[in-house]
Amino acid sequence: MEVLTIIAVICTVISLVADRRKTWQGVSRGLIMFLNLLPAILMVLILVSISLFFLPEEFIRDNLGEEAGFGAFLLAALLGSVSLIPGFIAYPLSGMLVSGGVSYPVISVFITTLMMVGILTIPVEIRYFGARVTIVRNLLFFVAAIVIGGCMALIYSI
Amino acid sequence: MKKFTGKNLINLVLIALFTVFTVGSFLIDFKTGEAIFRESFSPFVKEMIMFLPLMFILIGLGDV
Repeated sequence: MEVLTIIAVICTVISLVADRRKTWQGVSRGLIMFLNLLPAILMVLILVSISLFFLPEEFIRDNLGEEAGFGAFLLAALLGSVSLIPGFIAYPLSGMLVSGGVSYPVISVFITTLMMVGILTIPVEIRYFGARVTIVRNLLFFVAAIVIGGCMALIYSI
Repeated sequence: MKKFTGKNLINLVLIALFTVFTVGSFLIDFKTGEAIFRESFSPFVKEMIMFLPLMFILIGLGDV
């Protein structure tokens, strides 16, 4: 957190020195973007908070924890594939899931599919790249995410 | 403002419902509602509110 604050302050100061008007423009543009996304961010937080509260820790550990096995990978991959969450929300959200008992390999699968596989955006992707490319790309990344999860499990078990 | 409300109507309604639920829980001493807010929602929101605006400022600066 401190690192981000320092980086933000340094960048803003450098930008202010370079061009005051553009800096103000950039800061206000960033804050407007934040305000526009705030309702969606809050909604994700509310849903995750309620879900984590009602799902017993044991259930999470059994189904998405270290002992859960391949089923957990598949579940995480499917959830990641159908979710449309930007990275800056996904990482803190994943941190929350990790503290709730979800294992790192499962989180890796979730984040990888979240970034690389988009089932809901398939129609748009097909429109621009064609059906074949879209399906092959999504399938390859889906499999790759599970392989990455397997590698993470291997690394974390050593 | 109208555009913002129209675009986020469902989210805003659900946030309002959650707010009413949370305030109501504290008023009538409903332990589950209080716990959802205190143990799950509040710490996470605090963390996000601390870093998200800074990140968006950086994105905005990079954008211009």
